[in-house]
Amino acid sequence: MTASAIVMMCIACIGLWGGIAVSAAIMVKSNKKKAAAAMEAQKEEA
Amino acid sequence: MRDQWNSKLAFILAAIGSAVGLGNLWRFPYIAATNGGGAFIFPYLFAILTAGIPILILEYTLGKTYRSGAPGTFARINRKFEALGWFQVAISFLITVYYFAIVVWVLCYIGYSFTLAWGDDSTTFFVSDVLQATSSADGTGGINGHLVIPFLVVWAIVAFIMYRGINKGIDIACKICLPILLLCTIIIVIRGITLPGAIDGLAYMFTPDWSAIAQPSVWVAAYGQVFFSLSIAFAIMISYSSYLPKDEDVVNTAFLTACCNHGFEIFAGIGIFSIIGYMAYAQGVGVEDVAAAGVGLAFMVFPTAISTLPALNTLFGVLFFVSLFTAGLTSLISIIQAVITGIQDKWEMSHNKATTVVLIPAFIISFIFITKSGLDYLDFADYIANSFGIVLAGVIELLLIGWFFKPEKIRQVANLTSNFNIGQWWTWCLKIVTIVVLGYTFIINMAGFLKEGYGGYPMWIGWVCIAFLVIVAIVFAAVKGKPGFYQKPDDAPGYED
Repeated sequence: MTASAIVMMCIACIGLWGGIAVSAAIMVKSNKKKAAAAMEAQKEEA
Repeated sequence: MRDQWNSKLAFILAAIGSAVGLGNLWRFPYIAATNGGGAFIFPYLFAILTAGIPILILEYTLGKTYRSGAPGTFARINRKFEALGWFQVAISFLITVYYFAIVVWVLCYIGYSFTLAWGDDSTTFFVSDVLQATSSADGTGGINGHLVIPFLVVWAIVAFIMYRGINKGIDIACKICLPILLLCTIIIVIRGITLPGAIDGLAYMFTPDWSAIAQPSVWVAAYGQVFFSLSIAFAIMISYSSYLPKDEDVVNTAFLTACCNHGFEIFAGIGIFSIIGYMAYAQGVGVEDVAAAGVGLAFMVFPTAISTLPALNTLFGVLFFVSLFTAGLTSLISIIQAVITGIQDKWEMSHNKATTVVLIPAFIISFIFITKSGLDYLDFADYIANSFGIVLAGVIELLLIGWFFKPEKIRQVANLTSNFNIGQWWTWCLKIVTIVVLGYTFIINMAGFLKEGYGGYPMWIGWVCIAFLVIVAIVFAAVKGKPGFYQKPDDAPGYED
Protein backbone atom coordinates (compact mmCIF):
# COMPACT_ATOMS: atom_id res chain seq x y z
CA MET A 1 0.00 0.00 0.00
CA THR A 2 1.52 3.30 -1.04
CA ALA A 3 2.22 6.14 1.35
CA SER A 4 -0.39 8.28 -0.40
CA ALA A 5 -3.07 5.63 0.13
CA ILE A 6 -2.21 5.44 3.82
CA VAL A 7 -2.29 9.23 4.07
CA MET A 8 -5.73 9.42 2.41
CA MET A 9 -7.10 6.68 4.67
CA CYS A 10 -5.79 8.59 7.70
CA ILE A 11 -7.27 11.89 6.49
CA ALA A 12 -10.68 10.24 6.07
CA CYS A 13 -10.56 8.48 9.43
CA ILE A 14 -9.17 11.42 11.42
CA GLY A 15 -11.52 13.88 9.73
CA LEU A 16 -14.67 11.91 10.44
CA TRP A 17 -13.85 10.16 13.68
CA GLY A 18 -12.27 13.37 14.95
CA GLY A 19 -15.54 15.08 14.06
CA ILE A 20 -17.42 12.55 16.18
CA ALA A 21 -15.10 13.21 19.11
CA VAL A 22 -15.35 17.01 18.82
CA SER A 23 -19.16 16.96 18.44
CA ALA A 24 -19.57 14.59 21.35
CA ALA A 25 -17.27 16.72 23.54
CA ILE A 26 -19.23 19.88 22.70
CA MET A 27 -22.46 18.05 23.49
CA VAL A 28 -21.21 16.82 26.87
CA LYS A 29 -19.91 20.30 27.77
CA SER A 30 -23.21 21.89 26.79
CA ASN A 31 -25.19 19.35 28.80
CA LYS A 32 -23.04 20.06 31.86
CA LYS A 33 -23.65 23.80 31.45
CA LYS A 34 -27.39 23.25 31.17
CA ALA A 35 -27.40 21.01 34.23
CA ALA A 36 -25.41 23.60 36.20
CA ALA A 37 -27.76 26.39 35.10
CA ALA A 38 -30.78 24.29 36.08
CA MET A 39 -29.27 23.63 39.53
CA GLU A 40 -28.58 27.36 40.00
CA ALA A 41 -32.14 28.17 39.05
CA GLN A 42 -33.42 25.57 41.54
CA LYS A 43 -31.25 27.00 44.33
CA GLU A 44 -32.51 30.52 43.65
CA GLU A 45 -36.11 29.32 43.74
CA ALA A 46 -35.48 27.53 47.00
CA MET B 1 -50.27 15.74 22.86
CA ARG B 2 -47.51 15.08 20.33
CA ASP B 3 -45.00 12.35 21.16
CA GLN B 4 -41.50 13.39 22.15
CA TRP B 5 -38.21 11.54 22.24
CA ASN B 6 -37.46 10.43 25.82
CA SER B 7 -33.96 11.80 25.56
CA LYS B 8 -31.60 13.47 23.14
CA LEU B 9 -29.67 10.22 22.90
CA ALA B 10 -32.84 8.51 21.65
CA PHE B 11 -33.12 11.00 18.80
CA ILE B 12 -29.43 10.83 17.94
CA LEU B 13 -29.43 7.02 17.83
CA ALA B 14 -32.61 7.01 15.74
CA ALA B 15 -31.13 9.54 13.31
CA ILE B 16 -27.88 7.60 13.05
CA GLY B 17 -29.84 4.37 12.67
CA SER B 18 -31.79 5.92 9.84
CA ALA B 19 -28.70 7.23 8.08
CA VAL B 20 -26.56 4.12 8.56
CA GLY B 21 -28.08 1.61 6.19
CA LEU B 22 -27.27 -0.94 3.57
CA GLY B 23 -25.64 1.64 1.33
CA ASN B 24 -23.00 2.42 3.97
CA LEU B 25 -21.85 -1.19 3.80
CA TRP B 26 -22.30 -2.10 0.19
CA ARG B 27 -22.22 1.11 -1.84
CA PHE B 28 -19.68 3.56 -0.46
CA PRO B 29 -16.53 1.42 -0.67
CA TYR B 30 -17.07 0.65 -4.35
CA ILE B 31 -18.09 4.23 -5.23
CA ALA B 32 -14.91 5.50 -3.60
CA ALA B 33 -12.69 2.92 -5.27
CA THR B 34 -14.09 3.58 -8.75
CA ASN B 35 -14.09 7.36 -8.49
CA GLY B 36 -10.49 8.17 -7.85
CA GLY B 37 -9.82 5.95 -4.83
CA GLY B 38 -8.16 7.97 -2.10
CA ALA B 39 -8.60 11.15 -4.12
CA PHE B 40 -12.36 10.70 -3.72
CA ILE B 41 -11.96 11.58 -0.04
CA PHE B 42 -11.58 15.29 -0.86
CA PRO B 43 -14.80 15.74 -2.87
CA TYR B 44 -16.49 13.42 -0.36
CA LEU B 45 -15.49 15.50 2.69
CA PHE B 46 -16.33 18.68 0.76
CA ALA B 47 -19.79 17.30 -0.08
CA ILE B 48 -20.39 16.38 3.58
CA LEU B 49 -19.54 19.94 4.66
CA THR B 50 -21.42 21.77 1.91
CA ALA B 51 -24.44 19.54 1.38
CA GLY B 52 -24.85 16.77 3.94
CA ILE B 53 -24.47 18.76 7.13
CA PRO B 54 -26.25 21.93 5.88
CA ILE B 55 -29.28 19.96 4.72
CA LEU B 56 -29.35 17.96 7.95
CA ILE B 57 -29.33 21.21 9.93
CA LEU B 58 -32.11 22.54 7.70
CA GLU B 59 -34.32 19.48 8.09
CA TYR B 60 -33.73 19.12 11.81
CA THR B 61 -34.59 22.80 12.32
CA LEU B 62 -37.68 22.65 10.13
CA GLY B 63 -39.07 19.58 11.89
CA LYS B 64 -38.34 20.86 15.38
CA THR B 65 -39.68 24.36 14.64
CA TYR B 66 -42.87 23.50 12.75
CA ARG B 67 -43.54 20.37 14.82
CA SER B 68 -44.89 18.25 12.03
CA GLY B 69 -43.78 15.72 9.44
CA ALA B 70 -42.67 16.89 6.01
CA PRO B 71 -46.15 17.64 4.55
CA GLY B 72 -47.23 19.54 7.67
CA THR B 73 -43.96 21.43 7.96
CA PHE B 74 -44.07 22.65 4.38
CA ALA B 75 -47.81 23.40 4.62
CA ARG B 76 -47.19 25.51 7.74
CA ILE B 77 -44.56 27.52 5.88
CA ASN B 78 -46.82 27.99 2.86
CA ARG B 79 -49.91 25.97 1.83
CA LYS B 80 -48.57 25.77 -1.71
CA PHE B 81 -45.44 23.97 -0.48
CA GLU B 82 -47.40 21.04 0.99
CA ALA B 83 -47.18 18.98 -2.20
CA LEU B 84 -43.40 18.76 -1.79
CA GLY B 85 -43.89 17.14 1.61
CA TRP B 86 -46.23 14.54 0.12
CA PHE B 87 -43.81 13.95 -2.75
CA GLN B 88 -41.15 13.13 -0.16
CA VAL B 89 -43.56 10.91 1.78
CA ALA B 90 -44.45 9.10 -1.46
CA ILE B 91 -40.74 8.47 -2.07
CA SER B 92 -40.50 7.01 1.43
CA PHE B 93 -43.50 4.77 0.78
CA LEU B 94 -42.00 3.57 -2.50
CA ILE B 95 -38.69 2.80 -0.84
CA THR B 96 -40.49 1.05 2.05
CA VAL B 97 -42.23 -1.48 -0.19
CA TYR B 98 -39.07 -2.67 -1.92
CA TYR B 99 -36.66 -2.26 0.99
CA PHE B 100 -38.60 -4.99 2.78
CA ALA B 101 -37.53 -7.49 0.14
CA ILE B 102 -33.84 -6.69 0.65
CA VAL B 103 -34.12 -7.09 4.42
CA VAL B 104 -35.88 -10.42 3.80
CA TRP B 105 -32.99 -11.62 1.62
CA VAL B 106 -30.53 -10.57 4.32
CA LEU B 107 -32.50 -12.48 6.96
CA CYS B 108 -32.42 -15.57 4.74
CA TYR B 109 -28.66 -15.26 4.33
CA ILE B 110 -28.14 -15.16 8.09
CA GLY B 111 -29.61 -18.65 8.02
CA TYR B 112 -27.65 -19.71 4.93
CA SER B 113 -24.41 -18.64 6.63
CA PHE B 114 -24.69 -21.48 9.12
CA THR B 115 -24.16 -24.02 6.34
CA LEU B 116 -22.51 -21.77 3.72
CA ALA B 117 -25.45 -22.86 1.61
CA TRP B 118 -24.30 -20.86 -1.42
CA GLY B 119 -21.58 -23.43 -2.10
CA ASP B 120 -19.08 -22.72 -4.87
CA ASP B 121 -21.37 -20.64 -7.07
CA SER B 122 -22.89 -17.90 -4.97
CA THR B 123 -24.26 -16.06 -8.01
CA THR B 124 -26.33 -18.97 -9.27
CA PHE B 125 -27.41 -19.73 -5.72
CA PHE B 126 -28.68 -16.18 -5.21
CA VAL B 127 -30.36 -15.75 -8.58
CA SER B 128 -31.76 -19.24 -9.12
CA ASP B 129 -32.21 -20.76 -5.68
CA VAL B 130 -32.97 -17.79 -3.46
CA LEU B 131 -34.74 -15.42 -5.83
CA GLN B 132 -35.88 -18.04 -8.38
CA ALA B 133 -35.56 -15.10 -10.73
CA THR B 134 -37.28 -15.11 -14.10
CA SER B 135 -35.52 -13.67 -17.10
CA SER B 136 -37.87 -10.78 -17.77
CA ALA B 137 -39.87 -8.21 -15.87
CA ASP B 138 -43.01 -8.71 -17.96
CA GLY B 139 -45.33 -10.31 -15.43
CA THR B 140 -44.32 -11.41 -11.95
CA GLY B 141 -43.62 -15.11 -12.41
CA GLY B 142 -45.59 -15.81 -9.23
CA ILE B 143 -44.63 -15.46 -5.58
CA ASN B 144 -41.34 -17.03 -4.53
CA GLY B 145 -42.50 -19.54 -1.93
CA HIS B 146 -39.07 -19.68 -0.22
CA LEU B 147 -39.34 -16.08 0.80
CA VAL B 148 -42.87 -16.05 2.26
CA ILE B 149 -42.00 -17.08 5.82
CA PRO B 150 -38.98 -14.78 6.21
CA PHE B 151 -41.12 -12.05 4.61
CA LEU B 152 -43.80 -12.53 7.27
CA VAL B 153 -41.14 -12.63 10.01
CA VAL B 154 -39.66 -9.30 8.89
CA TRP B 155 -43.13 -7.78 8.64
CA ALA B 156 -43.98 -9.02 12.13
CA ILE B 157 -40.81 -7.49 13.57
CA VAL B 158 -41.37 -4.17 11.80
CA ALA B 159 -45.05 -4.00 12.70
CA PHE B 160 -44.23 -4.74 16.35
CA ILE B 161 -41.71 -1.89 16.41
CA MET B 162 -43.91 0.60 14.58
CA TYR B 163 -47.03 -0.02 16.70
CA ARG B 164 -45.00 0.64 19.85
CA GLY B 165 -44.21 4.17 18.66
CA ILE B 166 -41.08 6.25 18.72
CA ASN B 167 -40.03 5.70 22.33
CA LYS B 168 -41.06 2.14 23.10
CA GLY B 169 -40.50 0.96 19.52
CA ILE B 170 -37.98 2.88 17.42
CA ASP B 171 -35.81 4.04 20.33
CA ILE B 172 -35.47 0.54 21.79
CA ALA B 173 -34.91 -1.02 18.34
CA CYS B 174 -32.06 1.41 17.67
CA LYS B 175 -30.56 0.88 21.13
CA ILE B 176 -30.44 -2.85 20.40
CA CYS B 177 -29.46 -2.78 16.72
CA LEU B 178 -26.77 -0.09 16.64
CA PRO B 179 -24.45 -1.65 19.26
CA ILE B 180 -24.86 -5.04 17.52
CA LEU B 181 -24.04 -3.41 14.18
CA LEU B 182 -20.98 -1.69 15.61
CA LEU B 183 -19.71 -4.81 17.35
CA CYS B 184 -20.16 -7.02 14.26
CA THR B 185 -18.40 -4.43 12.10
CA ILE B 186 -15.49 -4.09 14.53
CA ILE B 187 -14.97 -7.87 14.47
CA ILE B 188 -15.18 -7.96 10.66
CA VAL B 189 -12.68 -5.09 10.34
CA ILE B 190 -10.19 -6.66 12.75
CA ARG B 191 -10.45 -10.01 10.95
CA GLY B 192 -10.29 -8.33 7.56
CA ILE B 193 -7.18 -6.24 8.07
CA THR B 194 -5.26 -9.22 9.46
CA LEU B 195 -5.81 -11.36 6.37
CA PRO B 196 -3.19 -11.79 3.65
CA GLY B 197 -4.08 -9.67 0.66
CA ALA B 198 -6.02 -7.17 2.77
CA ILE B 199 -3.47 -4.51 1.88
CA ASP B 200 -4.34 -4.92 -1.80
CA GLY B 201 -8.02 -4.38 -1.06
CA LEU B 202 -7.28 -1.27 0.96
CA ALA B 203 -4.89 -0.03 -1.72
CA TYR B 204 -7.66 -0.45 -4.32
CA MET B 205 -9.97 1.68 -2.20
CA PHE B 206 -7.55 4.35 -0.99
CA THR B 207 -4.82 4.76 -3.62
CA PRO B 208 -5.48 8.23 -5.01
CA ASP B 209 -5.96 8.91 -8.69
CA TRP B 210 -5.61 12.68 -8.60
CA SER B 211 -6.81 13.13 -12.17
CA ALA B 212 -10.28 12.06 -10.97
CA ILE B 213 -10.71 15.32 -9.06
CA ALA B 214 -10.96 17.20 -12.35
CA GLN B 215 -13.87 15.04 -13.52
CA PRO B 216 -17.38 16.39 -12.82
CA SER B 217 -18.69 12.82 -12.57
CA VAL B 218 -16.55 12.22 -9.46
CA TRP B 219 -18.01 15.28 -7.72
CA VAL B 220 -21.50 14.16 -8.74
CA ALA B 221 -20.71 10.71 -7.31
CA ALA B 222 -19.45 12.28 -4.05
CA TYR B 223 -22.50 14.49 -3.61
CA GLY B 224 -24.75 11.59 -4.62
CA GLN B 225 -23.19 9.28 -2.06
CA VAL B 226 -23.51 11.87 0.73
CA PHE B 227 -27.07 12.68 -0.24
CA PHE B 228 -28.35 9.11 -0.41
CA SER B 229 -26.39 8.03 2.62
CA LEU B 230 -27.79 10.62 5.02
CA SER B 231 -31.54 9.96 4.52
CA ILE B 232 -32.16 13.57 3.56
CA ALA B 233 -34.87 15.02 1.27
CA PHE B 234 -37.34 12.21 1.74
CA ALA B 235 -39.16 13.28 4.86
CA ILE B 236 -37.31 11.16 7.42
CA MET B 237 -35.22 13.74 9.25
CA ILE B 238 -38.04 16.30 9.31
CA SER B 239 -40.30 13.60 10.76
CA TYR B 240 -37.82 12.47 13.42
CA SER B 241 -36.90 16.00 14.49
CA SER B 242 -40.57 16.99 14.80
CA TYR B 243 -40.58 14.92 18.01
CA LEU B 244 -37.71 16.90 19.54
CA PRO B 245 -38.27 19.36 22.40
CA LYS B 246 -38.15 22.97 21.20
CA ASP B 247 -35.02 23.91 23.09
CA GLU B 248 -32.82 21.10 21.77
CA ASP B 249 -29.68 21.81 19.80
CA VAL B 250 -29.76 20.71 16.16
CA VAL B 251 -26.54 22.13 14.70
CA ASN B 252 -24.12 20.03 16.70
CA THR B 253 -26.50 17.08 16.41
CA ALA B 254 -26.34 17.38 12.62
CA PHE B 255 -22.54 17.39 12.72
CA LEU B 256 -22.57 14.34 15.00
CA THR B 257 -25.06 12.43 12.83
CA ALA B 258 -23.10 13.12 9.64
CA CYS B 259 -19.73 12.25 11.19
CA CYS B 260 -21.12 9.02 12.68
CA ASN B 261 -22.73 8.01 9.41
CA HIS B 262 -19.75 8.73 7.19
CA GLY B 263 -17.22 7.62 9.80
CA PHE B 264 -18.99 4.27 9.89
CA GLU B 265 -18.91 4.13 6.07
CA ILE B 266 -15.15 4.51 6.03
CA PHE B 267 -14.74 1.98 8.85
CA ALA B 268 -17.00 -0.60 7.20
CA GLY B 269 -15.29 0.02 3.87
CA ILE B 270 -11.94 -0.85 5.42
CA GLY B 271 -13.35 -4.16 6.64
CA ILE B 272 -15.16 -5.04 3.46
CA PHE B 273 -12.37 -4.23 1.06
CA SER B 274 -9.81 -5.97 3.27
CA ILE B 275 -11.81 -9.16 2.87
CA ILE B 276 -12.32 -8.53 -0.85
CA GLY B 277 -8.56 -8.06 -1.11
CA TYR B 278 -8.01 -11.38 0.64
CA MET B 279 -10.47 -13.07 -1.73
CA ALA B 280 -8.63 -11.68 -4.76
CA TYR B 281 -5.34 -12.89 -3.26
CA ALA B 282 -6.79 -16.37 -2.63
CA GLN B 283 -8.12 -16.58 -6.20
CA GLY B 284 -4.96 -15.16 -7.73
CA VAL B 285 -6.76 -12.28 -9.45
CA GLY B 286 -6.75 -8.51 -9.16
CA VAL B 287 -9.07 -6.78 -6.68
CA GLU B 288 -10.72 -4.94 -9.58
CA ASP B 289 -11.79 -8.32 -10.97
CA VAL B 290 -13.84 -9.22 -7.91
CA ALA B 291 -14.93 -5.86 -6.50
CA ALA B 292 -18.62 -5.05 -6.76
CA ALA B 293 -21.32 -2.98 -5.12
CA GLY B 294 -24.88 -3.29 -3.97
CA VAL B 295 -26.82 -6.51 -4.21
CA GLY B 296 -23.96 -8.10 -6.16
CA LEU B 297 -21.45 -7.41 -3.41
CA ALA B 298 -23.71 -8.51 -0.57
CA PHE B 299 -25.19 -11.68 -2.04
CA MET B 300 -22.70 -12.83 -4.66
CA VAL B 301 -19.16 -11.57 -4.02
CA PHE B 302 -19.09 -11.48 -0.23
CA PRO B 303 -20.52 -14.99 0.29
CA THR B 304 -17.70 -16.27 -1.92
CA ALA B 305 -15.24 -14.26 0.14
CA ILE B 306 -16.69 -15.76 3.33
CA SER B 307 -16.28 -19.26 1.95
CA THR B 308 -12.66 -18.48 1.12
CA LEU B 309 -11.76 -17.39 4.67
CA PRO B 310 -9.18 -19.64 6.36
CA ALA B 311 -11.31 -20.27 9.46
CA LEU B 312 -14.60 -19.47 11.23
CA ASN B 313 -16.38 -18.96 7.92
CA THR B 314 -19.83 -19.44 9.43
CA LEU B 315 -19.15 -16.92 12.19
CA PHE B 316 -18.07 -14.21 9.76
CA GLY B 317 -20.95 -14.96 7.44
CA VAL B 318 -23.38 -14.54 10.30
CA LEU B 319 -21.63 -11.38 11.49
CA PHE B 320 -21.74 -9.81 8.04
CA PHE B 321 -25.40 -10.54 7.41
CA VAL B 322 -26.41 -9.60 10.95
CA SER B 323 -24.75 -6.22 10.41
CA LEU B 324 -26.63 -5.81 7.14
CA PHE B 325 -29.86 -6.81 8.89
CA THR B 326 -29.48 -4.36 11.77
CA ALA B 327 -28.44 -1.54 9.43
CA GLY B 328 -31.35 -2.28 7.11
CA LEU B 329 -33.91 -2.60 9.92
CA THR B 330 -33.11 0.74 11.57
CA SER B 331 -33.27 2.46 8.20
CA LEU B 332 -36.52 0.73 7.25
CA ILE B 333 -38.34 1.76 10.41
CA SER B 334 -37.31 5.38 9.91
CA ILE B 335 -38.63 5.37 6.35
CA ILE B 336 -41.96 3.96 7.48
CA GLN B 337 -42.18 6.46 10.36
CA ALA B 338 -41.82 9.33 7.86
CA VAL B 339 -44.99 8.13 6.12
CA ILE B 340 -46.86 7.48 9.37
CA THR B 341 -46.01 10.95 10.69
CA GLY B 342 -47.29 12.60 7.51
CA ILE B 343 -50.62 10.74 7.61
CA GLN B 344 -51.06 11.06 11.38
CA ASP B 345 -50.48 14.81 11.40
CA LYS B 346 -52.79 15.67 8.51
CA TRP B 347 -55.83 13.81 9.76
CA GLU B 348 -55.02 13.93 13.51
CA MET B 349 -55.23 10.17 13.71
CA SER B 350 -54.10 8.13 16.64
CA HIS B 351 -50.69 6.56 16.24
CA ASN B 352 -52.10 3.04 15.92
CA LYS B 353 -54.63 4.05 13.28
CA ALA B 354 -52.03 5.91 11.20
CA THR B 355 -49.68 2.93 11.49
CA THR B 356 -52.41 0.56 10.27
CA VAL B 357 -53.33 2.88 7.40
CA VAL B 358 -49.70 2.82 6.23
CA LEU B 359 -48.71 -0.77 6.94
CA ILE B 360 -51.66 -2.54 5.28
CA PRO B 361 -51.15 -1.17 1.75
CA ALA B 362 -47.38 -1.38 2.15
CA PHE B 363 -47.68 -5.04 3.15
CA ILE B 364 -49.85 -5.85 0.12
CA ILE B 365 -47.68 -3.96 -2.39
CA SER B 366 -44.41 -5.32 -1.03
CA PHE B 367 -45.46 -8.81 -2.16
CA ILE B 368 -44.52 -7.68 -5.68
CA PHE B 369 -40.88 -7.62 -4.65
CA ILE B 370 -40.81 -11.21 -3.43
CA THR B 371 -42.13 -12.55 -6.72
CA LYS B 372 -39.80 -14.20 -9.21
CA SER B 373 -39.45 -10.92 -11.10
CA GLY B 374 -39.03 -9.06 -7.83
CA LEU B 375 -35.36 -8.20 -8.34
CA ASP B 376 -36.08 -6.44 -11.64
CA TYR B 377 -38.95 -4.40 -10.19
CA LEU B 378 -36.82 -3.58 -7.16
CA ASP B 379 -33.87 -2.48 -9.25
CA PHE B 380 -35.98 -0.13 -11.36
CA ALA B 381 -38.01 1.22 -8.42
CA ASP B 382 -34.78 1.89 -6.53
CA TYR B 383 -33.34 3.68 -9.55
CA ILE B 384 -36.44 5.89 -9.85
CA ALA B 385 -36.61 6.63 -6.12
CA ASN B 386 -32.95 7.62 -5.93
CA SER B 387 -32.04 9.07 -9.33
CA PHE B 388 -35.33 10.87 -9.93
CA GLY B 389 -37.30 11.12 -6.69
CA ILE B 390 -34.83 12.06 -4.00
CA VAL B 391 -32.73 14.28 -6.24
CA LEU B 392 -35.77 16.22 -7.48
CA ALA B 393 -37.18 16.44 -3.96
CA GLY B 394 -33.87 17.85 -2.75
CA VAL B 395 -33.69 20.43 -5.52
CA ILE B 396 -37.26 21.62 -4.93
CA GLU B 397 -36.78 21.71 -1.15
CA LEU B 398 -33.68 23.87 -1.48
CA LEU B 399 -35.29 26.12 -4.09
CA LEU B 400 -38.41 26.69 -2.00
CA ILE B 401 -36.60 27.27 1.29
CA GLY B 402 -33.53 28.95 -0.18
CA TRP B 403 -35.15 31.25 -2.71
CA PHE B 404 -38.88 31.54 -1.94
CA PHE B 405 -38.71 31.43 1.85
CA LYS B 406 -35.97 33.11 3.89
CA PRO B 407 -33.30 30.65 5.00
CA GLU B 408 -31.88 33.34 7.26
CA LYS B 409 -34.96 32.96 9.46
CA ILE B 410 -34.26 29.24 9.74
CA ARG B 411 -30.62 29.93 10.51
CA GLN B 412 -31.56 32.33 13.32
CA VAL B 413 -33.99 29.80 14.78
CA ALA B 414 -31.32 27.08 14.64
CA ASN B 415 -28.73 29.32 16.34
CA LEU B 416 -31.11 30.22 19.19
CA THR B 417 -30.80 26.79 20.77
CA SER B 418 -27.58 25.40 19.33
CA ASN B 419 -24.35 24.47 21.05
CA PHE B 420 -22.53 26.66 18.52
CA ASN B 421 -23.74 29.03 15.83
CA ILE B 422 -23.71 28.45 12.10
CA GLY B 423 -22.59 31.29 9.86
CA GLN B 424 -23.62 32.58 6.47
CA TRP B 425 -21.71 29.76 4.78
CA TRP B 426 -24.70 27.55 5.60
CA THR B 427 -27.09 29.77 3.67
CA TRP B 428 -24.83 29.93 0.62
CA CYS B 429 -24.25 26.19 0.62
CA LEU B 430 -28.00 25.63 0.48
CA LYS B 431 -28.82 28.42 -1.95
CA ILE B 432 -26.04 27.82 -4.44
CA VAL B 433 -23.68 24.89 -4.04
CA THR B 434 -26.07 22.03 -3.38
CA ILE B 435 -28.78 23.21 -5.78
CA VAL B 436 -26.27 23.43 -8.63
CA VAL B 437 -24.86 19.96 -8.02
CA LEU B 438 -28.25 18.33 -7.45
CA GLY B 439 -29.80 20.14 -10.40
CA TYR B 440 -27.00 18.98 -12.68
CA THR B 441 -27.36 15.42 -11.34
CA PHE B 442 -31.12 15.44 -11.96
CA ILE B 443 -30.76 16.70 -15.52
CA ILE B 444 -28.11 14.10 -16.36
CA ASN B 445 -30.16 11.30 -14.78
CA MET B 446 -33.40 12.29 -16.51
CA ALA B 447 -31.70 12.73 -19.87
CA GLY B 448 -30.18 9.28 -19.54
CA PHE B 449 -33.48 7.73 -18.50
CA LEU B 450 -35.46 9.34 -21.32
CA LYS B 451 -32.85 8.42 -23.92
CA GLU B 452 -31.91 4.89 -22.89
CA GLY B 453 -34.32 3.79 -20.20
CA TYR B 454 -32.71 1.77 -17.43
CA GLY B 455 -31.23 -1.70 -17.31
CA GLY B 456 -33.13 -2.87 -20.36
CA TYR B 457 -36.29 -3.10 -18.25
CA PRO B 458 -39.72 -2.23 -19.68
CA MET B 459 -40.17 1.52 -19.37
CA TRP B 460 -43.68 1.19 -17.97
CA ILE B 461 -42.24 0.18 -14.57
CA GLY B 462 -40.39 3.47 -14.32
CA TRP B 463 -43.35 5.52 -15.48
CA VAL B 464 -45.65 3.80 -12.97
CA CYS B 465 -43.24 4.70 -10.15
CA ILE B 466 -42.93 8.31 -11.33
CA ALA B 467 -46.70 8.61 -11.75
CA PHE B 468 -47.21 7.24 -8.24
CA LEU B 469 -44.91 9.89 -6.73
CA VAL B 470 -46.49 12.77 -8.63
CA ILE B 471 -50.11 11.68 -8.13
CA VAL B 472 -49.66 11.17 -4.37
CA ALA B 473 -48.08 14.62 -4.08
CA ILE B 474 -50.91 16.34 -5.93
CA VAL B 475 -53.86 14.39 -4.50
CA PHE B 476 -52.76 14.32 -0.85
CA ALA B 477 -51.95 18.03 -0.94
CA ALA B 478 -55.35 18.81 -2.49
CA VAL B 479 -57.32 16.84 0.11
CA LYS B 480 -58.17 19.02 3.08
CA GLY B 481 -56.69 18.11 6.44
CA LYS B 482 -57.74 19.01 9.98
CA PRO B 483 -57.43 22.77 10.72
CA GLY B 484 -54.57 22.24 13.18
CA PHE B 485 -52.45 20.72 10.43
CA TYR B 486 -51.99 24.11 8.75
CA GLN B 487 -51.42 26.15 11.89
CA LYS B 488 -47.80 26.94 12.49
CA PRO B 489 -46.56 27.25 16.09
CA ASP B 490 -46.55 30.86 17.31
CA ASP B 491 -42.77 31.03 17.54
CA ALA B 492 -42.13 29.59 14.08
CA PRO B 493 -41.23 32.00 11.25
CA GLY B 494 -44.10 32.64 8.87
CA TYR B 495 -43.90 33.04 5.14
CA GLU B 496 -44.97 36.68 5.32
CA ASP B 497 -42.76 37.66 8.29
